[in-house]
Amino acid sequence: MSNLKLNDPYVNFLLPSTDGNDISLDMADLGEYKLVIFSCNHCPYAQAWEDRIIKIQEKYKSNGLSVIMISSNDALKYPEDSFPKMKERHKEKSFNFHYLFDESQEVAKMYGAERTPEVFLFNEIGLLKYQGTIDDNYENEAEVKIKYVEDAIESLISGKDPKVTQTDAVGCTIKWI
Amino acid sequence: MKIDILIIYNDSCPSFEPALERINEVLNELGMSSNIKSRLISNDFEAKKYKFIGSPTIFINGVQFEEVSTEIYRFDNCRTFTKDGDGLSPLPSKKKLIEIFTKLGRNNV
Repeated sequence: MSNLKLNDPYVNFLLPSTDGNDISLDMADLGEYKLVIFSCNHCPYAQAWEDRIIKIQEKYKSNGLSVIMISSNDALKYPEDSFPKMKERHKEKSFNFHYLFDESQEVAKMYGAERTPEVFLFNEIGLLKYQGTIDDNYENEAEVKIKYVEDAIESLISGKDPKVTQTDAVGCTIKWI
Repeated sequence: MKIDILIIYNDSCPSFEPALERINEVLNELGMSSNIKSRLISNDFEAKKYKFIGSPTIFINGVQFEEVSTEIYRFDNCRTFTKDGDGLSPLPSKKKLIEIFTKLGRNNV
């Protein structure tokens, strides 16, 4: 269960990004809607949704959506999730969003994230409006029936609150130190 | 013929039940009977002992499904499989399961 509750303001952070910058949610060049996703390199669930995350960023960039993906996994036990490996993944997949390394795991703990991937969607004034999974079919994008994140983003864009505000995140557990 | 299947899993990864469901589905479609056993892994010592590379690690008649050569055994890992066609999946490919079970059935005739 998340530490953040519906309508809570986002918790700010400053983390290194695979593009060489340090990123904070307060940065002015981020879009008005912020989609914070706890994910990682190694987890098959994270991998299954990776291309869809890229598509979501592409689809809603012009509407002011910024995806901020964070890996908080213990990189000693899971070297596939080390910062250098994250940089490699960013390059391989041509990520169109920030991919941040939460080495101390403090951000994951502040948010109460437990799984990869697990998403937190904030509206234009930084309040949490959706938390949970991306859609209802990790294995086959063509068979997705409910696009939770996209539905929630569409609601925010049209000035409404999402109908579904919370789902269970499906994925690997965050690998705690 | 009866096929021996061992599924080794952890309780931190959600793949065990859907994988078991898929295996049963394929066996039912092929009309084959099986002896399915499962083993829960709770620490790295057990992971190493049972050659657990991630949940679920599947052995069919003693042979690892999509065998991976590694010395890394982590009890909280989720297994990655190759997907039908292209890409990766947390679940074993239905097509590959059909191929393996069909071959085992044929060899036993």
